Amino acid sequence: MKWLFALVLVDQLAGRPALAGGHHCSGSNGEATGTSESRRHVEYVYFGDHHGGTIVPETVGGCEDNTDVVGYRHCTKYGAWASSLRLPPLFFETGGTMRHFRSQLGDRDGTVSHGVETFTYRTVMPTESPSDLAMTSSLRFGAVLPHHFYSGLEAELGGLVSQPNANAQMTSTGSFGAPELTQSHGMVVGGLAFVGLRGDIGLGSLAVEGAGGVRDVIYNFTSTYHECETSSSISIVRPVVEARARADVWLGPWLTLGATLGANVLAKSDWMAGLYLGLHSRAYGGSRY
Amino acid sequence: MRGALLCVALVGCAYRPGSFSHHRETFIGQRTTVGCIDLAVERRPDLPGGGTVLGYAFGNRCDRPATIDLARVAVVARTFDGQELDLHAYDPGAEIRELRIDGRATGEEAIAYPARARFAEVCVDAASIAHETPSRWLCFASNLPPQVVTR
Repeated sequence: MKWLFALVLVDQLAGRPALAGGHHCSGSNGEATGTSESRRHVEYVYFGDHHGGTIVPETVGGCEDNTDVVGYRHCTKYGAWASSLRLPPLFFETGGTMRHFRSQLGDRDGTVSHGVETFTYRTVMPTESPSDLAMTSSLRFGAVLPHHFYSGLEAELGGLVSQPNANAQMTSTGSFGAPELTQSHGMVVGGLAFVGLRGDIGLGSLAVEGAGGVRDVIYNFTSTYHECETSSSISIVRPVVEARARADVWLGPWLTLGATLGANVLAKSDWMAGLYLGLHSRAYGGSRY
Repeated sequence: MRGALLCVALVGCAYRPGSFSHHRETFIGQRTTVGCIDLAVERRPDLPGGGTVLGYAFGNRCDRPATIDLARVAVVARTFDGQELDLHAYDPGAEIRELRIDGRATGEEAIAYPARARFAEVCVDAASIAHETPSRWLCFASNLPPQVVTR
């Protein structure tokens, strides 16, 4: 999808069409006529009756033309420079997000296996209100809809950079007693769909959006038992419905730098803040008319 | 393609109004501005059997899409014996049509205008390309540097 987006942009930005007249494609027996000339050192060579054009051999996707004149070239259709407007305005964003949310690890049951022995444990959190802090990388892909609306999908992946120490209490024992569990790094995975309303403010845009999906927080533990070490995890999947405010600044017609702030309306002390770069298939997101 | 990707990364790939160049390549030909469009038209050497080839290079000065209509562009030629002819594009695939170019984007096309005669002068109404008025004629003499005339 990222490559598709990049191709849309590159196709639009490449600026010059490919060239043809006589042409050949890779794998065929065709033979191009003409000489290798750059566009800045044009040599005009004509052949046939009206079959004339500029000899500018150029390869596009394995196809090579030797003229850029419409009707004689074959590799590139007329109007390649307009291709970006044939699709709806698309955008791709990537950035980093900081997430703060209450830990749900308290009173969770887990299991850990050492060889043929399986043990159960239960997590106990500190008495104060425990919170997790996560740093994630996010990817967003969306389309601009009529009337300044936009919609899309986003995915995020990251790790817990701060988490309260959970006490894992073993609730079963084996031949050599009980394993010793220590909490290790945690992971965050999320997937959401979003819809928003964006307004152009000249140098950039402001937007409000709603996003809904799920967030999976994976808490990992290292278990040591009779010189054997293994890991165990507790995965907690929670629904997320976020209200967000976003602000973008145009760094160029197709590139934005933005910041976002949001809060999960389904949970207290659940908020996020992020920075991102956005690539747009149309100049200024197609917002300027 | 590598250059275009690098260009995207560096945010320097947008067409700069009035520059008549893109990716360090200068638009070839006689320059004019019609509406949002910076346009350069080049008369290439004539076809062997008669007729001519025009090269169009254009950049959108505006942040919004603009019209490029090379299907209805008015191209008039005068023969050496004084006849005036309306020229029509060679378009066997019926490809040439009105299109819109994105804001701050560039493009170029070369179009053949076949005819049986040889032309002393070929004139193009640049304004008609962008559906602008009044007319802005760019004229190209045969084997002479181009000049602007106003009608």
